[in-house]
Amino acid sequence: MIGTVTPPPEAEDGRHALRRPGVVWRTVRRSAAWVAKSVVRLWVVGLLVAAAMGSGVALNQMFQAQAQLEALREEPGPDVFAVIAYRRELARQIEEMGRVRSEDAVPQPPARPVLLEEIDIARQRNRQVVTQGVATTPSAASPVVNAPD
Amino acid sequence: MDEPEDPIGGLPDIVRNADRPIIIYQGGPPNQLDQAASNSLGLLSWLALLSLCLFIIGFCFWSVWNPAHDPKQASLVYAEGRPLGLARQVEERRQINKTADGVVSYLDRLRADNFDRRRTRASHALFSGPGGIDELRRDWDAKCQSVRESIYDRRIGRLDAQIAELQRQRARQSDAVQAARLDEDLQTLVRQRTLETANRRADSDPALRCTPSALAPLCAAESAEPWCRPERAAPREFTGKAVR
Repeated sequence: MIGTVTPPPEAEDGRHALRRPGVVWRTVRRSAAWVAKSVVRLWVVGLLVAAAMGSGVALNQMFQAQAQLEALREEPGPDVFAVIAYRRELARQIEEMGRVRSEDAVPQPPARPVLLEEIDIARQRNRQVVTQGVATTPSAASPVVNAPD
Repeated sequence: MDEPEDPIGGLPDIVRNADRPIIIYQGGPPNQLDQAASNSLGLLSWLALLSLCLFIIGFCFWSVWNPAHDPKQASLVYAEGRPLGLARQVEERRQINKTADGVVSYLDRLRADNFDRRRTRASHALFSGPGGIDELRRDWDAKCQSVRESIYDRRIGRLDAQIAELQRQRARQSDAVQAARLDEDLQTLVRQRTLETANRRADSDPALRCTPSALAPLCAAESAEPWCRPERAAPREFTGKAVR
């Protein structure tokens, strides 16, 4: 007969009575499993993608720092660098002299770099120029003498 | 010959008693055995790639942010040594460049003022500022004098101790010959003490004369000290136009 639904025969242990709720439960379980698998797959792939992006960023930062250092090392030149190193060596020797008190000979000062010697000479000359300029400047009390024609 | 196995006999009752058709496949799909291996390969590849990326991240981070210093290499900024991390190396070089800024123009202005015979108003913190070369030179000269004084003090102190010991022996000595010998030794020591005191006062011993740091000799051409030829002592510090 059309439209008649013949129910399945009764099982010996009554499991057909449980089939309808079992189907629903199975469907729920399958959906939950699919969602969990999708989440795990996304997490796994996402982790790898994030790690790759992170390594790219880290490499970029490292190369940028190296490039920055290379650019800074273009200035100053060795002559000015030597003057700064001379200052550091003076400070180091002063600290060492304060720490070690059992020498039998007086310390020797560090040798002067070329640029520092030029600066020392220029400063010395300027002091001499100033001193000679003070010595040769005529005083306000002395009269001005004009040579005859 | 054994009877063929009943393929249905091994199935559970719930399947045998069901009213649905039972289809039994003999063997398996062609690549079934490979499925487990390909799954393992995928996992291993994933692990390898992830490990590689994490290693790269760790290596780059450590290269840039390593806080350690190398005490065997001197640094112009850090007392504990040259920094190993790139970030601190950049900071160190920035400070050096900032200190060195304007030194050459300072010299040019000095020379220009000398040419014009006028007092210079140029100055540079590297020389005249706090912690500058002028101040350090004064400190160095004072320390050298202090070392010289302490050397003379030790020498004169040793002589005083020997004189005191000889005087004690002389006081206990009853033999005339020994007493005369002790007197002679005593006189020698007293003369040495007088000489040391005179040298100290007049600074006449060249071996114990302090050389002013401003009059130190010039760096030799073959010197490899960092303050004489830094391009030899630390060539990595100069790149590009700095070495041209």
